Amino acid sequence: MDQKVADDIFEAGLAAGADFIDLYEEETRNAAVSLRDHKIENATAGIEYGIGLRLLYGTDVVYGYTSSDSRDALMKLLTALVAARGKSNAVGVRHASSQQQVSIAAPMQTIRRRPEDAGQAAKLPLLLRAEKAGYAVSSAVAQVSASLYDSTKRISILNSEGLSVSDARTRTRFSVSVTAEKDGERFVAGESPGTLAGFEFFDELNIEDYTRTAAERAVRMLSAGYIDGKKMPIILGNGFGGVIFHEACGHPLETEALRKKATPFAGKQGQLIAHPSVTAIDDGTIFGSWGSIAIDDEGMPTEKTILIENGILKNYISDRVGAIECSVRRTGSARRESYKYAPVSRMRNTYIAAGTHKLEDMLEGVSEGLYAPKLGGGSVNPATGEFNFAVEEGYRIKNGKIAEPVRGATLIGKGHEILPHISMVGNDLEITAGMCGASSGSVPVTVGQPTLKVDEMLVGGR
Amino acid sequence: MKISEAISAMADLAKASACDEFDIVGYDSSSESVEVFEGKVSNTEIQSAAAIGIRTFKNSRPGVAFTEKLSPEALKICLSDALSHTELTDQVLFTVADLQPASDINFNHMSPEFDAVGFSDLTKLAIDLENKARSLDKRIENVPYTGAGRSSGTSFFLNSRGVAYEHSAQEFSAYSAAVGILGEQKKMGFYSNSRLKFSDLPGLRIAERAVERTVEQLGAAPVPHGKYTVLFTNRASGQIMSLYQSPYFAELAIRGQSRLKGKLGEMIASPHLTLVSQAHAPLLKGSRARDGEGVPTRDLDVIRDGKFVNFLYNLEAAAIDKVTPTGNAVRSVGSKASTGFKNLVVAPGNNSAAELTAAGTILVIDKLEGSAGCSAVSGELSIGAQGYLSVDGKRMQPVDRITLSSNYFDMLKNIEAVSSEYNDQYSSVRVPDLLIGGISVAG
Repeated sequence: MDQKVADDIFEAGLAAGADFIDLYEEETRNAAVSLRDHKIENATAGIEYGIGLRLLYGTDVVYGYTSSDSRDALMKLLTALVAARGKSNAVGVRHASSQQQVSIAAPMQTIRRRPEDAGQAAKLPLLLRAEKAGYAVSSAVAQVSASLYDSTKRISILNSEGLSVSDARTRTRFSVSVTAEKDGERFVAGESPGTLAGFEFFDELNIEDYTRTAAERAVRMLSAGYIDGKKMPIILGNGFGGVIFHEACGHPLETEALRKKATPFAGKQGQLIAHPSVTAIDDGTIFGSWGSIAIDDEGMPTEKTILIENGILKNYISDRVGAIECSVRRTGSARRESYKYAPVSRMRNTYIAAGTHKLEDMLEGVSEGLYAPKLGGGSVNPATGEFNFAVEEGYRIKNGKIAEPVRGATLIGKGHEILPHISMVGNDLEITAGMCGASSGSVPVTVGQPTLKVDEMLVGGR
Repeated sequence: MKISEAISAMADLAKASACDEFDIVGYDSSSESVEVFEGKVSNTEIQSAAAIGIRTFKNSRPGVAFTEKLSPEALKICLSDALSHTELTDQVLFTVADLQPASDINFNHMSPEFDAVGFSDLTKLAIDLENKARSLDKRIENVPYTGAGRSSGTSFFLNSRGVAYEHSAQEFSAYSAAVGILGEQKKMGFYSNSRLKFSDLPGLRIAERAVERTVEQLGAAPVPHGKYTVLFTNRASGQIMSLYQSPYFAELAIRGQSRLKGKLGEMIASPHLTLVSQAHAPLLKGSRARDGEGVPTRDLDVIRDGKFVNFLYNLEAAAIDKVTPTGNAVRSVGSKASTGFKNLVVAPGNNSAAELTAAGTILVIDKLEGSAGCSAVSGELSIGAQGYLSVDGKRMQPVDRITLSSNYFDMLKNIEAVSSEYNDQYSSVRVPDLLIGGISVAG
């Protein structure tokens, strides 16, 4: 973006009463190839481009975007935003600048093979490997679907405090979904590893392992029975099990929830909110991780943020507006799906830190319970803390042993009420890639945890 | 470059290229919205977006690409990407739609008030809603989400065989969410509504409904485990039917992803159920004269009095099954065509919801939580729910922290009644209350 044009926008916006203005220019190239039913079903690519213009009046946000970088288009947008804001609105919390100037942020990735250099055709043999591995698992495998996706996002951020930074983020992701079928019953299981890296991620990925894992789970769960619903001890598997913490505790720790007083964690900083064995972290600085960012979408270098330490709430996840309004420090967590969204506080790589326990320790003494090594998705109401998650792969626990598989189980509870019931934290931390949807769109994140034991949780079954 | 110019320019480029056939989809949309909190505007947004996507066919191989950048250079890159993709995909049995006559009903949903309603009107409504919600009940401790907005958009279609189609729609919307507290229990009720006319929005009733939904859930508790007859109110019934719409898509049956494969002509549901893809209902949001591939749409029974009578087809599935496409293709700029209902409508029954719950013990469900435990492939349904327990028509207790477990295909057969009442939403999904027996409840 032309600095002179940006300066003109800032000058005009400040003259119109705004306290702060920033511009976010983005061009993203993405490409994907997918296979299904032994066929290369789809190949697609796209160009996304636009500029977001944000005005802050105190902490009140006025946001718009345009697909043109011309001075005229941006001035027209500014005029519309200023008019939309109007003159009669009271101004939110005013605050001195909290902008942390950026010189050079530490890189979060290296690209050894750019996706555009590799080309779409390079994905074909990898997809065929997935197909072969999936069907080889069992004659019960009825369908293997797989896709390889890459995206390179180039952004520039300029603001009225003199910031001017750029970043490029290349992400790559493999997804495989396997359907098993027997006697009219079907079960679908999938794996979707992703990273902040170039095409070398695909080159080095053990595609067969991921595909076999999904296929074996689909086949195994085909014959699973149903569990009776009631309260019981739960052992949550590592990796994607962390989605419960992400949804039920992570979102309520974002200042976007705090500024609306829509979180059970409001006013709890410094208080014991979880079992002392729980330490939880949101870290944007894990090199090459799917959820990492060198700078956030306000241009601030990202950081490793301790959310909960030994059960005590230490920090919230904060963007610029949240930091001012809630009087907390910024954590480099402002994120957005694209220029179509104003940035708000969002998670990056969020996980519960490893403890010392082993799975055997957790099973000991459990006469009846549920072991859930793989969760599906779920939903949460941040304002009330209520959550509901599906168990994709579950096993009954009987007399301290993992017993037969069960399907159709759901986990129900409230995030802030479950935290004190986490009694054992395993030593097998793992994080997995996912997409997180919220008010600023869908952003790449990782969720993670070691295996956890929760002494009591409501299980919905049949 | 304007979207119409970009589509023309892309068509010219495609005609001059090596592709055999092509179709282009595009959209041009804008919206304006405000969100208020504690008496002031906390967020104001102006959005404007446009994009086009092209699908080329070369030697019967399709290739897709899209661009939001509408410059001549970006259009060339986009076409080049699509053409290169035709070298990767497998051959297909179909190509673009022929020019066929379509309904001449005007399905555009244009608001006569659109330009007359500005930000000041939206802001006033939102602030009034928040104030109203805060004042209605002492148990309301917070109103975190309240807003209003307006949106306008046009979608475009053009193909190499002369099919050209545009569809425009505008609407106003408003919403409110209120958090109530009783002891240590908090509940949040949400209500939104959209209308073609700003003056048709239910005004302060939006806040009242949000608060009603909050307050009626305070004190909720689980019911004992067991099998229940459940009334999915028309707030939740559309969600259930939408979650499980893909088994009716021919493309899923062809892939072995539908348990309805081979069941045409069979009774798959209770005789109370008639399910329609209703494309030509001018007042419904999903009505169109042509689908996402330019094929003329039509009203089509999918289930008639319990009997499965039609799959829904896009061009590709129709070519594989050697049938006429039903005009049910759905396509975004960046993807291949899929399938969808053009308004998913369940025909109404004869009795009101109150009449359906007048006798016996019935679990009334009006809120479903998440869908991760629901599989349209297996029919598995395991979903959190909230509502209340009704005994002989009396509301006995609000219910939460329960999970409903069943299988969708069993539920279809267990439909005991369909009510005569739709909800008040301007939507492409119209499903009355559904009374369904034999659902396992755990809590």
